[in-house]
Amino acid sequence: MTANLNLIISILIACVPILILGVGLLGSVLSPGQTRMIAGLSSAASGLVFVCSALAAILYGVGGTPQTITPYSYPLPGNAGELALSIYINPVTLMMLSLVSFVGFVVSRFSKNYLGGEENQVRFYTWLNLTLASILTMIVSGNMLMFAFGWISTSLCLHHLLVFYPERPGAVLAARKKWIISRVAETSLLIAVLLIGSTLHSMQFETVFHLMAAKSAGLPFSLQLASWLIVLTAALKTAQFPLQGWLIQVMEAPTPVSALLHAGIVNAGAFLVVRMSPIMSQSISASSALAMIGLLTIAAAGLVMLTQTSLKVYLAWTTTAQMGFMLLECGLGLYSLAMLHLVGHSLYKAHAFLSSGSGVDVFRAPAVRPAQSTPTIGQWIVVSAFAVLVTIGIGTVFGLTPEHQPALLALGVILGVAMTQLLLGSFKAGMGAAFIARAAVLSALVCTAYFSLHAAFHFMLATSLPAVRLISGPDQFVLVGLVMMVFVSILLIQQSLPKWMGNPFSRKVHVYLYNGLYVDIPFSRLVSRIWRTPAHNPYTQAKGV
Amino acid sequence: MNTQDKEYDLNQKIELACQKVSPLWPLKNFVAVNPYFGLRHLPFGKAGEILRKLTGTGLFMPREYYLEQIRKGEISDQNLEKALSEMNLSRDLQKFRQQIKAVPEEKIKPVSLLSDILSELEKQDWSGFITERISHYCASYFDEGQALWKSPFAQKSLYSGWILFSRFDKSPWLMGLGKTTAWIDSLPDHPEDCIRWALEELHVPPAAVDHYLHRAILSISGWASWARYLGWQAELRKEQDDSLRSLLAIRVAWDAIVFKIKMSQELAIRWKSALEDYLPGAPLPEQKFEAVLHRALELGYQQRLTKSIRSPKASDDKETRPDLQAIFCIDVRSEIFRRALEQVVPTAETLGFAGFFGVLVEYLPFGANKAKNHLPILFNPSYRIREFPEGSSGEEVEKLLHKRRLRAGASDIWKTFKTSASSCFSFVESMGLLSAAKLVGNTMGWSRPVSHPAKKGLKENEFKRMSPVLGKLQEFSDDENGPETGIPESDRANVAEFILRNMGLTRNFSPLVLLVGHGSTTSNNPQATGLDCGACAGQTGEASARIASSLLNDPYTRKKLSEEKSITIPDDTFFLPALHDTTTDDVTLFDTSILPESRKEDLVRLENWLFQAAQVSRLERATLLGIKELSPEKISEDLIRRSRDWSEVRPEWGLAGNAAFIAAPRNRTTGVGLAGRTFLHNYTWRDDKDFKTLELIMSAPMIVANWINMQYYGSMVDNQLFGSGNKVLHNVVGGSIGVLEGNGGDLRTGLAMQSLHNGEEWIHEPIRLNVIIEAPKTPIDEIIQKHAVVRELIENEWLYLFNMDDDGRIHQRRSNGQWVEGD
Repeated sequence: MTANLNLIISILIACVPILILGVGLLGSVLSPGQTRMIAGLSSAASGLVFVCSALAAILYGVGGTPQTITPYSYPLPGNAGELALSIYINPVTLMMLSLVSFVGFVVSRFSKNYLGGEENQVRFYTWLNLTLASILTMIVSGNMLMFAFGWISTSLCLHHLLVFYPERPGAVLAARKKWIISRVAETSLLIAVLLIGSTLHSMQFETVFHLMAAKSAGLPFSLQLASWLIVLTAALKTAQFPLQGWLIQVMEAPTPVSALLHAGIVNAGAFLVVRMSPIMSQSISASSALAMIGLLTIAAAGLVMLTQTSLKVYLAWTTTAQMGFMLLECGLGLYSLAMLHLVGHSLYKAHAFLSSGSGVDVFRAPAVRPAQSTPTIGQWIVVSAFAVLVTIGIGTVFGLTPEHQPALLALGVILGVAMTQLLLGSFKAGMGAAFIARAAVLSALVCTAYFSLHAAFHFMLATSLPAVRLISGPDQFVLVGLVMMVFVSILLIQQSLPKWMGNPFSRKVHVYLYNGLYVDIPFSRLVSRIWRTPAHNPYTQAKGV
Repeated sequence: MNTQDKEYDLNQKIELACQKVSPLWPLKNFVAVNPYFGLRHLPFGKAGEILRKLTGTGLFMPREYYLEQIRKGEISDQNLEKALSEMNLSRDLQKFRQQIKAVPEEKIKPVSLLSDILSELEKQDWSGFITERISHYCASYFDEGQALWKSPFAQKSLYSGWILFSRFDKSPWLMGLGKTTAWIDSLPDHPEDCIRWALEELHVPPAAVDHYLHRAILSISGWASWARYLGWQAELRKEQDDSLRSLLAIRVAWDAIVFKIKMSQELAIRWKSALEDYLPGAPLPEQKFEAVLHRALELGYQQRLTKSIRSPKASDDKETRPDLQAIFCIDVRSEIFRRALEQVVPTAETLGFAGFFGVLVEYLPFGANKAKNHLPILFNPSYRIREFPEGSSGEEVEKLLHKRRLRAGASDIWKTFKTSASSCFSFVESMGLLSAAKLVGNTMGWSRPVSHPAKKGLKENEFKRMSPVLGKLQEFSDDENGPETGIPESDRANVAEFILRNMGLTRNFSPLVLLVGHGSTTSNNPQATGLDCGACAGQTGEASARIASSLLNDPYTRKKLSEEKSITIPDDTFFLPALHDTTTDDVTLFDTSILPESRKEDLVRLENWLFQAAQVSRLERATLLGIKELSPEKISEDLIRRSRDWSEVRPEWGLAGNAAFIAAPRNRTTGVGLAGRTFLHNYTWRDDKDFKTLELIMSAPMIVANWINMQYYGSMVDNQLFGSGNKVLHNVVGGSIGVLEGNGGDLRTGLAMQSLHNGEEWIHEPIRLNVIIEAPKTPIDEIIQKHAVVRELIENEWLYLFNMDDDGRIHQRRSNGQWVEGD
């Protein structure tokens, strides 16, 4: 019964990238005039692919088991693992597959009318489909080398979408930055995979998962090195500070490309860490580094985004910050939470980009909103205390106790800070205490939703992820302490500095943040020096921060 | 004495440069603006040459466009000959045809700013860098609600804020312009002094200053337009705003500073020779061939237009009472619908009048603390009208008010929770999954990404109860500073008379009179308000139509009208407000409860008529929308889809194609297919005793039509400078200020390519507005003499003016003031 079910699931899963690949290849032979056809075909295919993925996920829920199906395998010399055509059936695969195929479907369908009348719509769909096929291949892959090839192919195909308007210097510059970063990340990934293969004599994710679970002693040097390379790869791929520039500047490509990139591709770095979690969870130092990178990015990008004045650039900075948060969770060993974050963020960001034309509607609405009032220190204390109590209270109801998982303490503080923010917003002129009480109820609901989803994801993914790493030793407590400090500081900065308009320090901070802390200009200059950017007409210049 | 003279002179020159910029309204009321309004004092041809010299693009399309029109038969030989002879050129067509193919279109390199020369010299785009720096600063300074952390300099002037900003701006230093900060720090305190300093440093000779400043402001023309808008608004409030001067100062300061920093002999020599191009004596780039071709294209349209309306129609017979009178906005999109309605109901009469229906009001939505203008931007509101739930007790109103604030406040908290750095991560983990439902709903067209702005904080049934109130509503005035709301009873007869006389509707009222405003329905479209009513400052015409109807139905007003103004509206006449959805062609009726029970059948009949007219109208529009092969039902479905589809970049064609403005009785044009390209204003000069209405038409609706016409014109001939590029790259900036294309660059003004072009061909045709007025020449001439703006637009040929006499003969008023009979 289970074997049959798994067979059906694997067939469904295998269909997913193949279907999209087929349409992508078809697009490359169509003439540029056949736009309606390719648009219809692509939307239909990606819709079908989503149905396949969702069906596979449901069937797995009914009675599937984790399994790797490998129709073809080629052993590498020196017992260094194998290159295999391999499908890894497990909850992480199915979750990612459903997510990305859903986003792919929405983007594909959106592009039909949005890019209608574009001269190169056929070319757009060709590369969109090939990009999707690559990333879906990467997701289903049960073999690390196959994963790496899917990864590389995604980046190469995406490049064509980023320079969809090759006449735009800004688009070319951003794509070149990404080109450099991607090649470094890919090299690092390949070395990591080879190191893992040569040490564990397998490149199959599932085999490695079991081998690592059985391991008790510390990691050998080669695996330590591999884990550091994975950290590097993930950080580069998720546009972590200070190398976030390319992600911020891809607004030079059509909106659906941004949606796909921010919702479906940029999180590949976090996905990689989750896939490699059996190794990562045992490499404390690399994981801590990952958490630190994430934390730094949260602090930098989180504050930068507050000052941004254009909608899409703002959204891009939030992506960078959110990726940082995902890496932080991975670094703390909270993989199932990272997956929850990944899924939630993808859906949210896909919608945010595609609906970015609606931002104006908010300003068209009549001015009926009550004015914000500033809470007193006393109110501040009451609000924060309440937020912390709600968080702890609801967390306890869900059976989470920080003594067993100190990393959760950090997350508790983060949630508490968010609740404080929510409640502080409810101090509105003329709305009274009843309004604040409503906000308090709302915050309790949000908290409940948070912990429920946390529990649900933990339950769904428990079998495919290593157990949450117990934090031991003072180093880890330092890390947790830092996380708390950063979030409390962000809250305080956000609540205070914008009010001190005349203060020179506040002004300076604002200008630095508004300019993305100036980290991207040297990189831009370097890129321009490598490729001599052609001179252009004075009216077509476009650069981001 | 001498220096004082110079000072005075420079200030004037700065002012002149600033006046050349046209304002840009924010996206929340995206008003069509003539981008060449500041150049109206120049003849069309000269202005084109100057623009071409300064920016590389003049006022004509590329040659290839006209050749295509010749191939398509849009430009005939006859018109080419006529154009050639008008310009005193040889009428040898054979030779002309050879020349336009043999002599290639001249590509013009625009005159250079100093930064342009430096860019060439160093092969690095310094001009782009400067634009980017200024644009980046402006976006933050002017931001109206995108950033959670606002610019700390917004309370300073644009110029002094920039000096403070630049102290911390490390970008120039990182780009190798280390000394910039020090230079900026040492600049004078006032923008005028800064400009004087910069001009001296750059050695700009006094004679070259005008063109140089013009060129400088054009290089940042998007933000300049925004600054000009702020100045425009300030003037209305009798205040001053010197953002535009600041911006000009910032731009020329940059030029001077990079000159100082990058000083080299080569640069100095090149700059010196570049400055010569700015001198008034320097040759202007002529475009002889394009001028002929363009004129021939315009002549072709003029001929077709005048031919179609010249034959006098059946005489104006007002003895029979029409079954229905419907007054539409003059908007070109109404023309199609009016024709359809007349076809469906031959006993109906339609009229054209600006969609604010003559009520000069600002509108205060329910519970709002800020009113919105609902009238053409050339006017100031006389009254403030409050929106209010119909038939509610005081207590209910208070409750609803509280609810609306509560909901708006809640959505506010939610937005901050979602977007702020301290909470966005928890938001994603607890609520991000809900976006899946939104993605599905929006993709399928079941829901809008953001609920309709007007409905914010109200449920559908609550919103439906809202209507404008003519009365005062003193008890609910929660806005202490605002003026009293409502139209006082003592004014009503005057206002009503103003409306009716200007509409030309003072007798023979039909049993039902429809006042049809218009609005569009689109989703996820930053420039949506550009498709709404231009006469209502980028709002829909709903409120205006409802206010005017309610005034004209008011028994007291009618009594006074009859007693004092000798306009008698029969008791069985009812005015009904309506809204024409220009995307779907559906017409919604409002306030129908005013009709007595006995008249309900009339209502059913009316709805049926409107439905049929909509069908006819949709069929006509289907051709332009490229869906004419579909069945009528499918066409309706597709239009509804367009109005809801969040990915649709061409929901409707707006006012594309607009080319003429006709002020005459409707019977001059009844039954003539004008293809949705004309603004139709009802006007009967014999009813206009002292030509007051004519004066109003020529000084307001005609100007508005010119603005719309030129917005399309500019967006098409120079989309780079006066258009907003590609919609799929639009990036809304500053909350609702405008759009950037891609990451940054200058703010973009005007229309996107998707509003002009369907991907295969242009939908708009860039020709100047042809105004045809049925009235004697003398009063027209007098009005032209009286209004400088009107005179400049006509005599400098920014539009063509024709008059029509009683026999339908047409005469054109030439730029020299002579009237010439048309052929």
